[in-house]
Amino acid sequence: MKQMAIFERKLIRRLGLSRKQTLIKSVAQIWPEGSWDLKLSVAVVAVALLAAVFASVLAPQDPYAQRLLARLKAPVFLPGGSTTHILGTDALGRDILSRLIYGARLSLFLAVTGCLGASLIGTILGLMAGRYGGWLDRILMGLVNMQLSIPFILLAITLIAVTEPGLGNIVFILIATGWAGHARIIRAETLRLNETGFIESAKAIGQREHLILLKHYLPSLLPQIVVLASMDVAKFIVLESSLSFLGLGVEPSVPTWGSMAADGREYLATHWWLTTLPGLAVFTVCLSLNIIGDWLRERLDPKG
Amino acid sequence: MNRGRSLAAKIGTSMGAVILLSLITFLFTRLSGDPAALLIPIDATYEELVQMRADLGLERSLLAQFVTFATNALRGDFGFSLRYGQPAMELVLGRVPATLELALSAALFGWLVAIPLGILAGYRPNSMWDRIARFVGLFGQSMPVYWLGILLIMFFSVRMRLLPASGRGSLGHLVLPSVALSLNLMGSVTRILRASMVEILRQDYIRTALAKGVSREVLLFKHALKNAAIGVVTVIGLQLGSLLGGTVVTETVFAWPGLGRFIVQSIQYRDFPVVQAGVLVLAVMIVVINAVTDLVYPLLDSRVRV
Repeated sequence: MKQMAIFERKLIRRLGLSRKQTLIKSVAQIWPEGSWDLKLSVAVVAVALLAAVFASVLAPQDPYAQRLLARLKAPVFLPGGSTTHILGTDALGRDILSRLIYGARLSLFLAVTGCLGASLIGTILGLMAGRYGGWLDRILMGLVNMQLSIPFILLAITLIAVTEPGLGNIVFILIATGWAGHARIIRAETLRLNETGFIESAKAIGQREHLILLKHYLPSLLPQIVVLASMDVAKFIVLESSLSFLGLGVEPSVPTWGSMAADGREYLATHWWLTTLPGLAVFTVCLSLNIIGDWLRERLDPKG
Repeated sequence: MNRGRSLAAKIGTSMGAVILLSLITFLFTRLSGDPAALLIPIDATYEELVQMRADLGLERSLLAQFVTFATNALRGDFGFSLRYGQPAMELVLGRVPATLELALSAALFGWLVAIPLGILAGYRPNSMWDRIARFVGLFGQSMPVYWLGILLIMFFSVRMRLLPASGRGSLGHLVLPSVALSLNLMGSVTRILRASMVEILRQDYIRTALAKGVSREVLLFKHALKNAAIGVVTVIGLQLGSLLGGTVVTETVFAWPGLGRFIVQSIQYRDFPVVQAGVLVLAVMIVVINAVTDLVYPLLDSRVRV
């Protein structure tokens, strides 16, 4: 709890606000200064988050229920659409809006879990490599360089080819892809911190090692961690939806944005909304996350 | 560290990546239970399965098994495709030219847009070009390649009937897949080039050149661009690597008969020898590109050349 308070204060100070305020108050304070695209992005991400958390309440229909008499219905804004199925139905008569909402839950859950895992592992390894150097550093950085030269999709294919599709596999692949980028940047930042005065002073007054790591390194690394994480969530949403599109993601019946887009491909000429809507969901959410990430980087990174 | 040693270290890392990936493919097959079941057609008899287990030497130690796998792999022997009954490696190599053709034209198209755009944006921050560059960068990061591919097909093939939606053959077939595949690369090269131009134009030697009365063209192309190129070349290697990875998705969307689509189809048919061979061939292609980037880099930066 105390660690969280330190992190929060650090973050607020980096954002250029007084340390006495809480995070929520400071967000409210920055809000009017934000550009319109930033505000829109925050709104989009908030909607996606709400949809993900309250999917079972918000979804108007059961996303798995098939109605063969109501197949391929048009959305309400097109001729032939009705308010029963606001965004129409797919080839099995399942309600598209409900599937999109449940898809948000899955996409965000996978991306956030993968991002937390990658961030945790990358931060710990990067911090250790940067702080202790030596053979540990050489081995870890060798691994990082190897990992960075294997594209994500090859790793994913290798794993999926031999195992059953499932949530755990996807999270594992996302973490295995993401940790190296975090480790590299955190290591570089740690090397810079090694040279700063306050680390020297902490050592000089005999502070214990684990306290130096927790109280001095971690809070100073926090901006980098936050920026990397915000970018990674967007990246992971795209990656996960690409895997689902290829049929290498979670089980085919589970509603995901990628698999919905893949299902609609057969009806491209006649029912364009089947692939357009889920793709649009991925695109708008990721665009918003990237805009927020850019803003965070400008705001948090003192080097600009 | 001198150049020879750092180059050797980089090639060592890349080779390490290939070995790591082959170790992963190998271990995953062993972890998945009975590898013989993966490597044999579903309708095989029990006797064939027992024979396969003996052929794979599954009763031997894991290390001995890996040594056999690795020596066979080095000779290009991944066994026979379960679907076609031909050597897996031969089938895979037959798909490589199509993939290279697609990747090359996508990379050229991406650079053709990104390089001028990145330079202009970095030269004139906050101008219209800068706004376009920011848009391209964000677009490249956020757009799923499969969706862009589908949108392109919907607009240019289904509605306008201008370009073919799938397959390989004429130059027209190459246009849509290249555009779709190039987007990620275009976005990141634009971003990086813009950032390094902004950084370089702030340097003292640029101000000195300006004070000396050097013309804008010489300043931009001779002083600034030459130095920005160094930063860009270093990332181009990694970018080309992920571009090759991206062919898996693009080829599937456009039914392009290349390596990526072949691997995805082979997964669906559980044709494991082909998946193994295909993944390793793609990985080796990426490693070669990385090594070439490392060779080009010192040609541009005289500080590294010494």
